[in-house]
Amino acid sequence: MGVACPSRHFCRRCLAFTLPEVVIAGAILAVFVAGSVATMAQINRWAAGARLRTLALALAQQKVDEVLTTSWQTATARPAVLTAGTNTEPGLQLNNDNYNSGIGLGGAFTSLDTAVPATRTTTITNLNTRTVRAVITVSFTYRTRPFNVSLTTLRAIDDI
Amino acid sequence: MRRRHPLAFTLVEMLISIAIFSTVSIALLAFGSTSSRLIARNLATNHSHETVRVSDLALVRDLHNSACAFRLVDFDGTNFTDSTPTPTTDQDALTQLYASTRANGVRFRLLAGGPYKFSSDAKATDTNLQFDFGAGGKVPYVPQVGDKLAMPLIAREFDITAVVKAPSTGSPTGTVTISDSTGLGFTIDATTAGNVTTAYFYREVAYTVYNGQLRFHANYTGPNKSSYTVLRDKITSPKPFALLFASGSAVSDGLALRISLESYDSSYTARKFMGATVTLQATVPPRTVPSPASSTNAS
Repeated sequence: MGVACPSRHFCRRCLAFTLPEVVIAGAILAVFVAGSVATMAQINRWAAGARLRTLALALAQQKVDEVLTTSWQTATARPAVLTAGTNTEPGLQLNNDNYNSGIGLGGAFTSLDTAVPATRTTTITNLNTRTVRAVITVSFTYRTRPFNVSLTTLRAIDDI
Repeated sequence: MRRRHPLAFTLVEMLISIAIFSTVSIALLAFGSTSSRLIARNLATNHSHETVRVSDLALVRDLHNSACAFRLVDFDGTNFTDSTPTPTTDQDALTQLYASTRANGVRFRLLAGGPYKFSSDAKATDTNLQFDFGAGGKVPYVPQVGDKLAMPLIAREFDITAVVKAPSTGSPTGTVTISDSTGLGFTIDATTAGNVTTAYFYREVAYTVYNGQLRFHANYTGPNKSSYTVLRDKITSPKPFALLFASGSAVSDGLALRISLESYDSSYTARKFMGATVTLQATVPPRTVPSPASSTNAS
């Protein structure tokens, strides 16, 4: 702020802001605005990323369920889902179900979900002839940043 | 006249100040609008995420614990009707099976009590069975008509058609009548020292989606069906449940429930933000296969 007014005639000029003051104040305001917007945008990205991790976890959980509930008997051939090796399923969609756009299956907000492609990798390892370990990893990229969600489970033969 | 001139603003000063004021005002308005939009989007994202996450947790826990195959239910706000699912051409990306016609409800059974041991002998023709329902000085489960009773020893299950004597804390022994009029089919010796014969009791429950709410019916039996707990609101998929069919098959084993649960939080914002809708896709089987209860008759 300007200095105290020595005379009533010069009051208007003395009480005005100087150019450096205005520039500095403007710069501070601009930094604050830019910082706030950037922070809020980052918080939104984190929220969206957390949501996608939940959906990826559900995708991994589905494969764990399949591994744990598929019938595996001594007398029959081992089911494909429990065969040792690595199986990769690309192009699975997180946060979307194309079929929800059908008549009676969607709503006013159905078209507002944005699909993120994910890849599910299942690795089955033989621990012995009657037990396997399954590692399921769902990986996806969101805003150029890679994410991985992984679950591990053990499965024994039904008639052990 | 000489006093007025120095105290007034010049045209240039006015123009510059108005320009600065306008610029700052527009910047602040833009900032406020952007902030409002970002915060609303964040709230919408987080709330819909929470809706789906909590729904998924509750659903997955109960569906994993299902004691029988799933049956789809149509609920119109008043009546619950068993749905007859037929296969569609919609191929589920997770299982490569084909989704059935959709429904807004699913019913199944959960373990309600047990194992409880027989407290008296039973003959093969008996239809009234007596159990000790006490556990630690309490009676955590009271049988009701419509519950199902499964006996692992003889691998049989029965519907409970009457409760002759309900157990209580003071008298934990209860007697139930089973549906098979020819009786139990086996003789149970419960009184010889060392003999312990038990039964498990299963109650029907249901999940429905109606009026934007995911509802849990903890006692989906008779008039109790209309009682429910709202797990979450803002569900925007009117028919999220389906069963799965193998290619070319007209029959589903009902052991995998396809869920396509969509949520959008319209409380925090009515603006339709792209990306603020959450859609959870899952296929959930009962974890115990074969399931303890084989029939899916309604209670």
